[in-house]
Amino acid sequence: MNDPTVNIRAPKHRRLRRATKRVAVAFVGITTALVLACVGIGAAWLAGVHVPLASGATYLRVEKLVPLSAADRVTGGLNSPFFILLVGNDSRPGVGGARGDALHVLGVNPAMHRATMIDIPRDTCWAGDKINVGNTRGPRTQANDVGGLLGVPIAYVVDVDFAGFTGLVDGVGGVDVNVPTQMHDVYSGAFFSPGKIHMSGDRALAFSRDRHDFPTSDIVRTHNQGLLILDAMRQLRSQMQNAPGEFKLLALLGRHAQLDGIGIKDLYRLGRIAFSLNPDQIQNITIPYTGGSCLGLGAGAGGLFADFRDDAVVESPH
Amino acid sequence: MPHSSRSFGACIAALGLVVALTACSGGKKHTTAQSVTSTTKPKVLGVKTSVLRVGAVDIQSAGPVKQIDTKTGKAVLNRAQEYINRAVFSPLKNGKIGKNFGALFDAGAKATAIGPDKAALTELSVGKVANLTTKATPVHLSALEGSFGETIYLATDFDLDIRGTTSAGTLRIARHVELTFAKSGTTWLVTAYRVQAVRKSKAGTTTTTATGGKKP
Repeated sequence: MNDPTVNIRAPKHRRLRRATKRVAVAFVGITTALVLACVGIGAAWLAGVHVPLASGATYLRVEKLVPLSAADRVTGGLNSPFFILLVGNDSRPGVGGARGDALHVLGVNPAMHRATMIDIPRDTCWAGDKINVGNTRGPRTQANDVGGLLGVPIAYVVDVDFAGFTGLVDGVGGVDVNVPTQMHDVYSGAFFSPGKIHMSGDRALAFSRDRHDFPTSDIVRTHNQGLLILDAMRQLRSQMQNAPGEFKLLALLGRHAQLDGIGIKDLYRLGRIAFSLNPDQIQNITIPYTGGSCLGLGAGAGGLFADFRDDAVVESPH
Repeated sequence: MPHSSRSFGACIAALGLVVALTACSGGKKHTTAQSVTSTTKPKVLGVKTSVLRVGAVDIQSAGPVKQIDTKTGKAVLNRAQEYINRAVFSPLKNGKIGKNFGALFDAGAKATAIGPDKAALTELSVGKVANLTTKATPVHLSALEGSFGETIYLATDFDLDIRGTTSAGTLRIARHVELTFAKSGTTWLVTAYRVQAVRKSKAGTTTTTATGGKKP
């Protein structure tokens, strides 16, 4: 007599069919998961999102915005004047947004072996808002805004946040900065006497953030950031006097830079150009401004931009 | 479909999405930096030419460090030898630059190499020399590798000490040669260079230098 409480085993062929079904479902599930993962990564890559293939921490992002001119494609080099936007954004733990708080445009004329740096205060008005807001929508938008302000096409944008900046400076062994004035600012942690000081990443960050020491606040800070960039160029130039020195820096960038539309070969080419320039001959110019919380362009701004625009070099002293 | 199987399938699909989203999120940021630089002399790279032989090897990598294989090392060293044959020895022996001198350079370097830098890159200005002797320092080989350990650039760095006799007397040439090579198709071509030649004779000392390719 059959007892309903006894678990009757299904026939062997049924058990086999169930097992086959489970394996099939698992196979379909895993395949779907892999396909979704690949599609996600592929879509992210196509959308320009960084796919984590870099071997080290990400210190900075370098993006190429315009293609090389036809002439440069033939010669394999950059012969025409071009403009690089350097952005220091304020993104750090506890602070989101990534506003472009340090904005500097380096105009380079390879044929003339000359360059000019234009410093743009973060509070400069653009399109009804402060210009630094553009970076919250990405470096490309920031580049479009700054390019629009100056009237120049930005070819490359380099974007770095607080942690990336300190990591980068430490990565090259620190930087010698010529501190122009006494600094004693508890907010940024900048405590420096005038003169040449070798700075670690943290100290260089404090130097470039100090605005409370100056009556014109961010204006002087912006100019000081430009000085720091030129000091860093001076130092890196001395380290790139031979191939091993060049390769060391490129490997560092390759490990720690998120590259969009640009490869290590492009960085090599740009580096060869940038470090052929004598930083002592690069003018560091803060744009003329008028007061207010959202700064307007001051007298002479139009002339300065036109001078910068024609060949990436400002001829008249500022 | 049994309930458990449906749940299992859904879990796997969800896992896939998580993997995909994690990948899209940009991955690790600002973690501890790692150093992958090495200075090594691989055993496999005991290559030499008639004048040059590899000394120290320095590898800088944006990813995993891979040793330079013998084939690549030999190819680049042969190219450096071809350069000194055509640019240095040929003018000193025959009074003219060796054939296909320009073919040693890629498009970005060629224009200046056969143009304004020709005088510094070659010994054409010296002309024929008798009793020619040459000594070379071991070649310092430097490599730049990409994110996957692929070789992007290889640079050869060496000094040449050349002695000979001209109608004006003895001549001594000290040459420092740094050639950076990039692969073009199946061959390695000079993409950048830094050279200096100091020529000493009874007439005096002249120095020529050139830095070119890939701008400046």
